[in-house]
Amino acid sequence: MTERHPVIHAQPSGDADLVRCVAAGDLGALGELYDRYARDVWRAVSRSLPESADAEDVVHTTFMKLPEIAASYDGRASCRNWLCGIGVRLGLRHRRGAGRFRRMLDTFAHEVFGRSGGDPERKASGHEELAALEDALERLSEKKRAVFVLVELEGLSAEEAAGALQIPAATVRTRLFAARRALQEALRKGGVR
Amino acid sequence: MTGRSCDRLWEIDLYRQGQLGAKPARSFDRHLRICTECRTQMDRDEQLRSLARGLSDRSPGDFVLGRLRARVLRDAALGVTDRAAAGRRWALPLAFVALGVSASLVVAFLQAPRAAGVTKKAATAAPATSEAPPGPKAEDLAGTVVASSGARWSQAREARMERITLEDGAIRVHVRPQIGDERFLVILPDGEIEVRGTTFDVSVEHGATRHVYVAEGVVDLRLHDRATRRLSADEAYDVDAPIRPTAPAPREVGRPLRAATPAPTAATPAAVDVGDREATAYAAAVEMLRQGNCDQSAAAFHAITLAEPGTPRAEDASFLEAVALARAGRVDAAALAAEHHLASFPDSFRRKEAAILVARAASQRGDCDKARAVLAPWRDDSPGVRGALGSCDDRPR
Repeated sequence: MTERHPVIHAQPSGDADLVRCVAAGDLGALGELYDRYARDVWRAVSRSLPESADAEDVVHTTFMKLPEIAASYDGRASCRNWLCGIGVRLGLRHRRGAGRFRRMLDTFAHEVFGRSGGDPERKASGHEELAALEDALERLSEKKRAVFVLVELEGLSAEEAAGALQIPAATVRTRLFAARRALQEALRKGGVR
Repeated sequence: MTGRSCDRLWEIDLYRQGQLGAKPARSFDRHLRICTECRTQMDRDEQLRSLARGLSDRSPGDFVLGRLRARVLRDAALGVTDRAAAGRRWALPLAFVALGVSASLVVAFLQAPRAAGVTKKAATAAPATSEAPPGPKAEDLAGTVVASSGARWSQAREARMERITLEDGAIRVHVRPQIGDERFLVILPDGEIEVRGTTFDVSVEHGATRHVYVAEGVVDLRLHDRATRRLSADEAYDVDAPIRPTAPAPREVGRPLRAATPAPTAATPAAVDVGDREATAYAAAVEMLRQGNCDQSAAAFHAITLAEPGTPRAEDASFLEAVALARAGRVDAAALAAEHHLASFPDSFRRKEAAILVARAASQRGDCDKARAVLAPWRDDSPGVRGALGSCDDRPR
């Protein structure tokens, strides 16, 4: 038997209520949470993935998994950070999947044919520093990048990032420290800092 | 990095976030005054943070987010997890596995011809007795539903019977032609609608059917206390809601929508109030569309088309509903709304744009005949027409 459930539009309510409703199968609540946080989750995911084209699939998976992982939500007022963390963790898992092969080929092609040297328009407009940071961020290891994105770009605390990535908070701090060092070193070598 | 690093560099983050206790914080404060390395690192971290805040925003546009929203809600409603995405990611490995399995089966077949014969017979018989496939798929369902905001409905299919149960609110249903003994029913609080393949609107308020409009095809409307009514294309059944004090008495069945345009009369105060209310609702819907709240806007426009059918405002609202759905990324729903607009307002100023919306959805699902047919009056070279036809465009460039 194929069955669809009612689409019930949730009344405006707190995130904790909405997450509970999602766990109970309320699609309206799922839509409401999507409207509130999909953009944030997308941004975090696309920053943590080198292929922004994959972000859509990861954001889709993040919201599709909500009903089954809703129980792990700690009930705080906003679930933005929680969702961003889940998205980034799923993004890491996604990267380890079959897509890695394709990206390896892309990377190989990139190295053989050389980098473009950055966006000329951006350089011309005086944003060379940002272009260098973008490049350096893309060259970071996925683990360091995930931590940097969550903590420095999305504003999660070390503890929240640790919970999202399911690693100890001390490991988050270590990776963050290393990520910042790597980025600062890359900027220094690029002559922009 | 050269030379020895300060052991207290690790405390910088905790200090900045106020996570050191009072006493350790004071200690680190004192340390900062004498440790150049920690001070420099703090400054560099802050510079990096400041630079990172200027990174380009990679969030997508409203259209992409709207399209994904529709995909998420559709898959959630159908109970699909991330199989589609997983399927795409694993397509290549699965293809290899499938090839391997096929090769094994071929070998097994060659080695055991008798057993293979039995398998082949069983496989041939399977479709006749098999139930619906274990995983629900959108393509299993004969009906496509576009629901207004707040509608309470469900859809279920068992064997060759599909039912939509509408408890409250308005839905538009497109049902593909029924094959053989297939049946399609819309269960209403006070009756049911049987469909053979059509597109129609139905709305329910306070447990009673208020409005049924058939855009194409034929439906049988069976309400509990009335005889069966057969509604054909462009016919409507309407009972005005009792909650609207200015509403006229219940109207007759089988009335074409366009005939519902009221004759010009001197406006009574009550009518002016209603007009103001509708005008306000229309302005609000336009504002929602302008702000990118496309789903809400579409629902609001839909409500306006139901509230004052046949009026110039309903004509605009009907087209804008399709536009809002298109902007929300709901291509098929936009096409249904556009088709409804074309059927209800054949002389619409927006008929070309509406036809483009219909053609775009048709070409995307590979229905080139429909795409070409709906754009037949406008086979010009405009980018809109060419874009809508897409790969269905068989004209030389």
